[in-house]
Amino acid sequence: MNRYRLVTIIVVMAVFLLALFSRLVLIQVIKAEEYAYFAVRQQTGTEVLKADRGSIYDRNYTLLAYNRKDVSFYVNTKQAIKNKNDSLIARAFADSLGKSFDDYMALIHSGKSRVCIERKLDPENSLRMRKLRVDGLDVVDDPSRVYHYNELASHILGFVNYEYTGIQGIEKSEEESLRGVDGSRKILKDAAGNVYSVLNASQVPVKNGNNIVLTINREIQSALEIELQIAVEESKAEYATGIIMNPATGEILALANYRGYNPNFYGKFSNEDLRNKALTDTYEPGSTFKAISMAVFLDKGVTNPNEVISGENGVYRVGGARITDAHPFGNATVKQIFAKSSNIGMAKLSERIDKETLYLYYRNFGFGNTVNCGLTVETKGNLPAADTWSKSTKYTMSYGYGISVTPLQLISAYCALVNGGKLMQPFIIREIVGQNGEIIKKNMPTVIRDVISPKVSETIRDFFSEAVNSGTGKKALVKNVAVGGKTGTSRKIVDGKYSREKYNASFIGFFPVEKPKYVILIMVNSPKSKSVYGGDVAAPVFRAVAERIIDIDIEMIDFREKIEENEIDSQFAESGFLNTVPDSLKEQMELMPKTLVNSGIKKGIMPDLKGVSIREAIYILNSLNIEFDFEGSGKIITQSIAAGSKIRPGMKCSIKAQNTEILGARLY
Amino acid sequence: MKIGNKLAVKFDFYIFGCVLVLIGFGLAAIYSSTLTNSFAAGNFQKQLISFFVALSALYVFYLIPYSFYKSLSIPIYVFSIALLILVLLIGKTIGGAKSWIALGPFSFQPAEFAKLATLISLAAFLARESTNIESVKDVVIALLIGLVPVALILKEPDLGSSFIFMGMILTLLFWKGITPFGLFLVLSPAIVMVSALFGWYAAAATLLLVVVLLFLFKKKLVISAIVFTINLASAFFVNYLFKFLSPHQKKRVESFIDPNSDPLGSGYNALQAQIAIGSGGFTGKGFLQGNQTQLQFIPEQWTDFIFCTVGEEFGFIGSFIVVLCYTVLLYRILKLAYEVKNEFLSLMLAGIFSIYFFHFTVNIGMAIGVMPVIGIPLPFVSYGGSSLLMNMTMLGIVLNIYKTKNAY
Repeated sequence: MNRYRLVTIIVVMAVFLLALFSRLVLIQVIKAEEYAYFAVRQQTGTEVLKADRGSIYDRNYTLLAYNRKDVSFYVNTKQAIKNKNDSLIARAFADSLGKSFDDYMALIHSGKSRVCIERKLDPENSLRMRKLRVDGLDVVDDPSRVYHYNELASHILGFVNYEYTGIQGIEKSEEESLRGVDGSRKILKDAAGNVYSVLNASQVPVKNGNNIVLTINREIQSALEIELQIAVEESKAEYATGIIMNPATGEILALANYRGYNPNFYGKFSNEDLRNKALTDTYEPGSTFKAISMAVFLDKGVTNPNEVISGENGVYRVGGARITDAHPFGNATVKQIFAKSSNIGMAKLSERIDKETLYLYYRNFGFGNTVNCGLTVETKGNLPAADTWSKSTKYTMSYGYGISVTPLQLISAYCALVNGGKLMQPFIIREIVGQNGEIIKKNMPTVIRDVISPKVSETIRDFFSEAVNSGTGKKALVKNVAVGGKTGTSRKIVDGKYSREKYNASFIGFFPVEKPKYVILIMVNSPKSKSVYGGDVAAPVFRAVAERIIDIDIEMIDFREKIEENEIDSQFAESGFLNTVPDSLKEQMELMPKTLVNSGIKKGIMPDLKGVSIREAIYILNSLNIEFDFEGSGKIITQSIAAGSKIRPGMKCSIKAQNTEILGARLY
Repeated sequence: MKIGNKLAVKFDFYIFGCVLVLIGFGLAAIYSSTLTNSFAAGNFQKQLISFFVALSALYVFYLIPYSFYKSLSIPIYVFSIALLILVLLIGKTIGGAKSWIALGPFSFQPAEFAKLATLISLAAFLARESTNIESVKDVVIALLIGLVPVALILKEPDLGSSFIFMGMILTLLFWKGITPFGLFLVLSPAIVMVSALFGWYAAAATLLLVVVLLFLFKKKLVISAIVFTINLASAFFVNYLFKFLSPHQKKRVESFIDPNSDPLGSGYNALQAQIAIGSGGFTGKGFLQGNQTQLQFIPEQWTDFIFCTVGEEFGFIGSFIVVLCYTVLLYRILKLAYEVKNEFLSLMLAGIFSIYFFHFTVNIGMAIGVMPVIGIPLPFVSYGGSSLLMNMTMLGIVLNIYKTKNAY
């Protein structure tokens, strides 16, 4: 062999080897650190650790809103199709969830690189699918906010949107506190971006959101909502608002508007339903405002309860206005004027006081200002400044026209009227509790100012009691416990004019009269029943709510005048009924007055409704999911489906009611 | 001592030792790179089995007298061409190339077999007493013997294997003693083709150089014109050839020409390979500790990019040992080729040398970014049964010749 050729090949080989060798020295020795940096940079990442949103509880720590550990399933389509996992995934999901195989296949083959094939699957369903560990299928934590009681307290709780941001109610006003602070961790990830291992579990520690404990009592809230629903359905009103407060502390115990909405499906409801009208919708309060004016007159000492005033037989002209009374009279004491809700009497008394003083008092009661109870989006109402008042304003305002208020403002002022004259700061958040149980903030009752003297407050309570016992609010009378209150019927303003058809029927009452613990505002908007008076429409709602509260609140027993032997109680005890009722219904049953309980209610069986009041009947039928229509009012006298028969889907029960008092029978 | 010496005369421990070290690195790297990949589970065990099968093949070829396969040169060549045609008809497409024939649970690459078959027949042709390397006719016949399988392999298309073939043909012609003009004749179209890839200006410049060299060779005008025409045609042929390439191979060529053109696409592997090897540093990250490997930044690393795992986990020291083993192996084969008196055997050794050399240089070169990314395995190290079997068979031939070198 030719030596020259051997040398040539050795030289060529040496050149190549030297090139490789020097390149290896360059990247593995000289530039090694640089490459190591690139490697670390692409292999490590920071992963956001989502903070858990805080839960919302009622005052007794009943869970109202929480996070359910849902997951979403994503398919990295290229990877799945390449590994022939597409039909495997589609088959598994279709079989497990009872959906169409073809739909899943179409999704996976839609051409997108990553598709979500199942969003927010609850833990029960997702558990099976999580076991399906195939390439191309990704599981992502995607918690759902769950409002356990659906419609209950919807306007208070509000809801979170798709991005888990609070949009309304407490969810919005306490967004920052509930949300918490996201943390992060350092991870080692593979080329596909999947987490391989965790390098630093808490690079930035997660700070979970705080829990909110409301002043709301779930049972009272539920009672109020049921009664508002019945009121709206019975009177065919546009809507109804109710608020319940503890006047001694300013705590809001319940607040509702019917119709409300289900925050779990907020998208299905109109803005009208979503709005918390108790805070956003103002109205001219009418006669309920007389209590405020009366308190001012008494506090300024311009009159006393026993002063006799002429009723002018129903017509009185002052300041260019013609003031009339629905029930004309000759002479009456100031107390009677209040009980009979005389406009003329109020106008005459307001002649004795200057408008600046009146305005100041109204301001002090909180009108024309936001309440700031802890819920956002609130209107101020309209209390015109004294210097803009016309000649007649002072008189009309004394009986509730020419001023507009929100229900929340009005009930706050009423709390001051009956609690000894102190305007309390209304609040809805009892405490904010950290994730480890530490109390971060505790709201204490706060006196904003003294508005009237305790003595006047006592007098006004007496006036309220009179108004219920012998005045316009008779239908608010509650068995066993003494109540006080004031009715109101005001014309709605439609297109800037007082309507002749649409009224706001309202009643604000409280109990027990001696030491008020509950103030309840009921406002029924545009009822279309025979009578549209507050005394006929709103007062019975007050009574129904009050009776339910008396059943719920053990303390109220002390205030019962004389408890009659209740045979139903013993019947209930014997029947052992609670053991035969499904748990879901049992919970609702607890809210029902005990008078209902003997009817032997079972799911799927038509109960005997005879003698039951119409609102209770509606409640029972609703809770049993029985469709129905009804006519009349009072107690049920006939039902189209016989008691004890089995309910089949699609059946409709017609019930007829009559005022049983007329028949001379009292069924409970 | 005497017996030991006697054995060393009959058996090249350097070559065998180096190959065992390389296979050891290979098995370790395959184990590491497939550990976290569910698709490649079991590849280590398969490779281990392949190793024992290949070791038996080595032993068989270590014993078979060379005259046996020399006599087979024509049938084995025909058979390999038949297989190459068969793979185009019924082959299995993997990674964009139709280069596998499936036999039940096994599959093999006819191109691997064709390497040895072509080598045997080309060496046999060149070693004929009547062959005159200075005659254009015989050079053309030699080229035809070599380029028929190349054309078929390009059709698959398997760019890497055809490159190895061309390197082998060139080496055999050179070893046989081709004249400078003959070398120019063979080499110039290839150089023109490569330069044409870089655009028409480069092609034009290379063609100008061809004209100058033709002028210097002072050959007849007709011959000079023919050679120039061949070169000119080659430049155009590249574009035609380019169409044969699968899209991913086109991109590989493009990204070698301009590595930054597509860092996330075809340049991705080259970049990730360098990061893996570079980040290994001097001592390496340790066995199974290579993040770049374990996190699978380089797809199918256990095949063509196996050197990344070696470089990352065993560092510069590991890389150096691997390169050193190849250097010793290649030098020993080349030395043997020089010493062996039988021309056929010398040509066989030169061919085997070239096959190992080009595989090794191109594979490591592409892993560290000095060669284009063309898919060829690293001999003895990469995962793959066909490749290991053929490499061990050729090693068996080498050791066989070493055993009998003094006999001829």
